[in-house]
Amino acid sequence: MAKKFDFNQIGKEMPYSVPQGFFNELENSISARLQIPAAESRPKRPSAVRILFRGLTAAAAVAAILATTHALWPNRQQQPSMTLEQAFANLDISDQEYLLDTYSDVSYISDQL
Amino acid sequence: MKINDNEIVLQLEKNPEKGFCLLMQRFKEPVYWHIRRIVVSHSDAQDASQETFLRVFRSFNDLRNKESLTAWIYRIATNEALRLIRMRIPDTMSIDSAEGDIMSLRADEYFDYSNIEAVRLQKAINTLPPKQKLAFTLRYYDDLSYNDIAEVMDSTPDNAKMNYHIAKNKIINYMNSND
Repeated sequence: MAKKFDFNQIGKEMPYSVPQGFFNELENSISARLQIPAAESRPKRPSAVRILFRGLTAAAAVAAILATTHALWPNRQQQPSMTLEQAFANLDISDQEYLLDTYSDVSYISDQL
Repeated sequence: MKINDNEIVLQLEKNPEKGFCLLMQRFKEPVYWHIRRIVVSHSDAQDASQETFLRVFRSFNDLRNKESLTAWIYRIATNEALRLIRMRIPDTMSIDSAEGDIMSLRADEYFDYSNIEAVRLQKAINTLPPKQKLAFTLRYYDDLSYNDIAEVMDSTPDNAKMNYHIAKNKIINYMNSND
């Protein structure tokens, strides 16, 4: 007599498997994907201390630029109208890039550069 | 110990990070296996599981009846699995025939052909129409109540019960006639 199928004998067995450690990796990758948009959606806002520090640093940079141009051009008296823009133009490319990167968000400097 | 749905909902509202851990602890395996039974291939089940949980977390505030968390998650998982199947099948093929054929199409290395009875049972399940298949797998493998199954299927508990019993009888007939 043919054996009748019985759900109790097979139970919940399935012919499927997963790689080792799969469920932990699944949780980690979902967690990582959930954090990405959260970080992107919140724009970084500089703290008050950082803004003050940037302002002071920018002022120091302006002073440094003016002092440098004064030292390089002793006959500056003949060029009394040298502007910050001209002083900036006289710097090395790398120095210009550094200043732009560092002070691009300080409005009174970036406006002039 | 099984984590209570209410506790998960409470934590998700109060402390989303802790809620995430509890929810994953409770649902990551059952949701993956539920999807796997629908899509068959491991890589597809992995993709659909990820999308399911991302959707669950991003739309948690849309959950109206917080008491039906389980049904809501299984419903999202089912929709993700079916959406993935639709993306995989050619336009000329219906989703029913694609599901019936799926055993031969999408088997992968994480499939144990040596377990003959288990393979036959999955083949039998895959011959069922979608609603019967869903009612059967949610009841048989996931122990969901008929109320929850009805919510997943967007149906009534009586209809879910009827689909389950019809599916069970069909499977018994298949298993007894395909030795």
